[in-house]
Order: sequence, then C-alpha cells, then structure tokens
Amino acid sequence: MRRREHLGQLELMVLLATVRPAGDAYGVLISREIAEKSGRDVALASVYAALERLEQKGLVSSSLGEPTAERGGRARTYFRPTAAGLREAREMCATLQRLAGGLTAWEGRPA
Amino acid sequence: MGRQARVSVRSPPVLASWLLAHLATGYRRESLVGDLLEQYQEGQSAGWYWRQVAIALGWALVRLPRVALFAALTRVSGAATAMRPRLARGRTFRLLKQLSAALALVTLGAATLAWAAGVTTHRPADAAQARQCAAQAVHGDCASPAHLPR
Repeated sequence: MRRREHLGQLELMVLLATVRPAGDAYGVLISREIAEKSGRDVALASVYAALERLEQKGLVSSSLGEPTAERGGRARTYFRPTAAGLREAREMCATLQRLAGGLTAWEGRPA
Repeated sequence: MGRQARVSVRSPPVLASWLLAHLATGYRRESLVGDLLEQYQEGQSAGWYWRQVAIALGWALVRLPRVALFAALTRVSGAATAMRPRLARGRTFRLLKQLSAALALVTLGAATLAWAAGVTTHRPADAAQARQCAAQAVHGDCASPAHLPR
C-alpha cells in the first residue's frame, strides 16, 4: 500500500495555491491567494514554513527566478506541485467532499 | 535617450531588517526577505513589516534546536573523523574504546533496572483498587502511595 502524507490545513491550502497554470506561484502570490479565498491573513514566514514541509515530502518543487531591484536584488523562488502533490491534493479534496456530505445531512434534519 | 527609469525605494524599518538579516535562518530566507521587501514597496505599513519579521523570527526559534543539534553532531563527527588516525595508533584509542564499551554496558544495566522497577511498581487500575491500596499504605505495604486519592 502506498504511504500517504498527512497534510495540515495550512499545508493543504498552500499546496492548492501553488496549482497555477502559469507556474508562477511564489510566496507573495500564495499568501495573497489564501487571503482572498479563505479570508485568513497568513504570514509569509508561515507560508514558507509550510512550503518547506511540502518540499520535504516531495509534494512541491521549487526554482529560482531573476533578482529584481524592488526586492533588493533578491530572486523570487517559484513553486509548483509535483505529480505526487497533485495526486495528494486531489485525494484530500475528494475525502473532504465525502466527509462534508454528513454536514449537509445534519443541517437538513428536524430540530 | 539614455534616461534610466528610477525606482523609488521605501526603506523598511532598519532594526526589523537587521533582525531579519541576522537572526532569521533556514529555508529560502533570501526569498522570504525579498517577498517582504516587495510587499512593503507595494504599500504595506511598518507595523505589518514588524509583525512579519516577528513571525519569521518565531519560526527561526522553532527550528533552532534542530539546526543546533545538526551542527553539533556534524562538529562532533568531524572532530572524531579528524582524530581517528592519530588515536588509532596509540593506547588512548584502545582506552577510549574500553571506556565507551563500559559506559554502554552501565547505561544498558541502568535502563534495564529502571524498566524492571517501572514494571513491578504497583499501579491500581480503578478507584476501588486505589482505596484498597490506600488502606494498605497506612500499614506501609504500598510501594508507591503517590497515586492514591486524597
């Protein structure tokens, strides 16, 4: 049986935020995406901590971009999900949707 | 011709930047610093910058034991590797080998004794047994009265 990686809530959100067709996900964009979609302000350092764990688990890969003046000559690090990361994200979302079925039934029951 | 676009740069709080540069460690630090600068240039406040730096330092603190342990282990193993050829020639190496073997044996023995003591210590499973044990403790029969109900 394949070994499953267990993802925390923030890890899952960060992993999903790296899924961008342009492959241009970096720290600022990821944290902005999470803030827009979830209404939660996530510190950049926390995003990077989650990205570190995801990279250690082999769920995302990273590459360095070009340094720019507005960043004080520092390069962006771009993140993209690996094949294992995409599979893991799909499975987690499917599991959450199945579990959420109980929530709908609960809300429909007589008080 | 020859006119260069000037980039106006807002300077973030100096102390916060210094702390970030000198105390934050680890994964993609340069990219994190760049991201913070980029967002600060886009109009974030100094308070926001300080909060981000504080969180980054918190993460650095969390990872500190791991980093320190790794550095210490690397240093110890490096020193041992460097010393080995010299030690291997002399009596000191044999003495160290014997000492470490003796230390390992003593540790193993102590661990076994501690385990045996833990197994034989009487731990009552329920309240009734604990009460019975309390009665025995009055007569000094109970091995560990610390767990008894008050």
